[in-house]
Amino acid sequence: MKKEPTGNSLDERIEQLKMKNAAESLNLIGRLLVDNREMSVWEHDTRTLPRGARRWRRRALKFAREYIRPLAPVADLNPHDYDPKPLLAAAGRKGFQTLLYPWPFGSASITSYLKNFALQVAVVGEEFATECGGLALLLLAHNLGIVPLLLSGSIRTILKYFMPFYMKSYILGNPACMAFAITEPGAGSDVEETEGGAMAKLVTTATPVPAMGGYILNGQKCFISDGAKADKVTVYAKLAGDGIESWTCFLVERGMKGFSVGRSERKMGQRASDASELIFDNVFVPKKNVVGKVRSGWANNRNVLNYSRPVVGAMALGHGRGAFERCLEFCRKTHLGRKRLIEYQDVQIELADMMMSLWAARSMIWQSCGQLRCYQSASAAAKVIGSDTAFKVCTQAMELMGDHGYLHAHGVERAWRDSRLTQIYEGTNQINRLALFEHQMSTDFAV
Amino acid sequence: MNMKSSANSISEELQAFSDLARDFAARELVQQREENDRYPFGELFTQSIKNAGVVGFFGANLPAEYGGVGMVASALAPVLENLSMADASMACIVFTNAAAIEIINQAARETDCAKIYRFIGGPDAKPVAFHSFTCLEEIDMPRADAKGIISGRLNFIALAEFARYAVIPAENPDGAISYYLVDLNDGGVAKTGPVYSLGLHACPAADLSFNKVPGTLIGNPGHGEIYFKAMQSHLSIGAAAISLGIMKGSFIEAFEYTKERFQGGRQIINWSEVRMLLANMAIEAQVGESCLASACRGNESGDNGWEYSARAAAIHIGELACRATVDGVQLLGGNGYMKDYGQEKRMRDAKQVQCLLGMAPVRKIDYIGRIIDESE
Repeated sequence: MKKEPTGNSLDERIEQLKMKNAAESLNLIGRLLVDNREMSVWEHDTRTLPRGARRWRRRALKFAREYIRPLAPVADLNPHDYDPKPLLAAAGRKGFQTLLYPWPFGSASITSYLKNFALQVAVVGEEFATECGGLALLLLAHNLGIVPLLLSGSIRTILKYFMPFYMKSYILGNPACMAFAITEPGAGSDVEETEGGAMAKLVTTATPVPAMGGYILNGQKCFISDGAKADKVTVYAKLAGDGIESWTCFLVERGMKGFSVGRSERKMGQRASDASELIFDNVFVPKKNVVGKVRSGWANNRNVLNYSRPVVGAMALGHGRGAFERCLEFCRKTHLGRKRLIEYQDVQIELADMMMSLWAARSMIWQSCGQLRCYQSASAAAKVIGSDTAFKVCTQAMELMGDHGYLHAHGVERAWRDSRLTQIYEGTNQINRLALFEHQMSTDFAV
Repeated sequence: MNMKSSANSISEELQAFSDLARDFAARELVQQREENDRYPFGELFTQSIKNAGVVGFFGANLPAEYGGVGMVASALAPVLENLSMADASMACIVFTNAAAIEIINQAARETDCAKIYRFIGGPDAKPVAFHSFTCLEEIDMPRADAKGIISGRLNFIALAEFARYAVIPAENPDGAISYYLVDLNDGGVAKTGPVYSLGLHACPAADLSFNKVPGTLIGNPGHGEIYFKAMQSHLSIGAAAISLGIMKGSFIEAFEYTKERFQGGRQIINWSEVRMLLANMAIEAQVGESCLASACRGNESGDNGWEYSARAAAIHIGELACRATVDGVQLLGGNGYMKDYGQEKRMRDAKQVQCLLGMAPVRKIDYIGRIIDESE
């Protein structure tokens, strides 16, 4: 005769079958080998990080909720009418703007920094972008401007620029940021890919003037994040009469004669951060402002991208997570018929799929920047996976929310718009796929 | 391939109306698209809306005896397609009005709706507001008493900001749903400002509150769901046409751009990956055109089960348009993301158009529900 299961009701039996309760039937060693802790994915992931990065992730979450969340809707709707200085100052004062170097030049945790250079910035980037893509870019594009100085490998440069910046931003809490300028009107993807680079039609040119002890810069850059706000910009220019192989990085400072900011683009998303045109009209740049060696700009630029791409992947991940979290909250609160949305099986499957996608992308990104030196193929992969996943998750979130997903007030359509840009900047995702292929050509893809 | 409009493949008789829409779009919409999309942070294109009424777009499916053209839904498709190739906001204004009128047309099959037609018709008639972005399952609707006095709230009603009349659903005391015509100038109606959303900025929607507002019953009481479902089938053709128009507009802009833009020393149209993306867009547009043409033929001839074709076309072409417009942005690189070009707007609009007549998953569930019901 079939034995009836014990228990009074179906609900009670289901409760007993849940793994947390069922595991009680295991012996001590069995119980030690299984993990039934009830903990959020965020907490689980955070605990896998090295101590320093873990601390920065917790701080960034708190900062994002306290400072970025309230400002996000306004900054997105009225990008020219809000004041970014208080946010820049607060981020600087809390050490988020000096994370690319440990004490005494920056605020990065030394132990984590020595093992995985870009990881701390990446985890912060995800947290910031979860609340707002535009404000996250406002704060993080600054790092792009700084990396060329680091990669110059010049102690003099590091001492000269990092110490004052550390003082100004972290100690005094004054708003400050830098920008990175490679894109030109006729050369977008070209300057991020080898074959394109060789054929690129560049207009920004540096003419050596030995008598004056420097260079005269002429030309134009476009789509420069933080270009209108930056105090200093790392600008790449070819030498007169030469090609991109002569690219040299120059530090151009606000106030230099002939340097001006042109139009600010009207973007679909990430609107709280400007994307500006920079104009160089006979700008004299002294020799001391050459970043690294003359003609080392191409190598410097490509390696800046290797460090920035996983961070862009992490920011994209943040957009996706932001959309997911807001959608989840909507599903908890909203009823369809007699049940809440979250109680429908197809909704549960969709939410689980979104979380899995984000989790997988995070694993890739953390692996990519979880090493001392970021390299081309892993960085490109992290950027592509992060941005494609984010756009997919944002789309899923919007669809789950129906017409509510399209309303600005819910913040999901904003994340969708924001995430789309991450598939384009820092090299389109097509260019990044080519970058991976190029890097692995002599090994995995060898003919 | 024909990237102008699918009017030729539907019926030659429609050519004149289709041409009218194309000329109107070229004259009124193309140049001002970016400016119009700034609304509510810029001006609403009120004069263009007025002009759309003058050329007859708001009377397309209004019976001829009340000053309309009396077209069936399939005849409206080339108009919507041509308008949305230029600016989907205008197409959605025409669509919303047509959806509201279609509810009345369906009711007119059962009862005399002359009085209601007279309210909304006439030479100076403004478009009628309607919940064109939601289906009945998704709405928290107001309540109407036995005398048709309406109280409650209704969110995201397209055109409510400037329309004189709205066609709205309300729950009757017995729980059934009826449609009512409501005068939005009534003292008991309160409107919010335009609700800012992802796309279609120049087709604004507002939230409405009703405080004991008298409504004129449309058709039989409690037949709201019947009218809505019938309207949904007819106007699915319109929703599909709007998606197709957006998709074609995106392809044309991407195609022209890739011929002009140089990268790596050559036109980017000569890069194989670019050609692949363009090919996908062209194929998606062609598939969309075939789907729509089939649905239109079914609607015109009243084929058995044409509603299935129409509903499937709206859902499928909506998805194709979302995919194609994402590629349309990518093909323009950074420029595709900027408002100077139309691509980012098309991507946003395509996404929001997917919600016309209800969110896509709900319409899918409804679609299979009909098949299951018939099989039983």
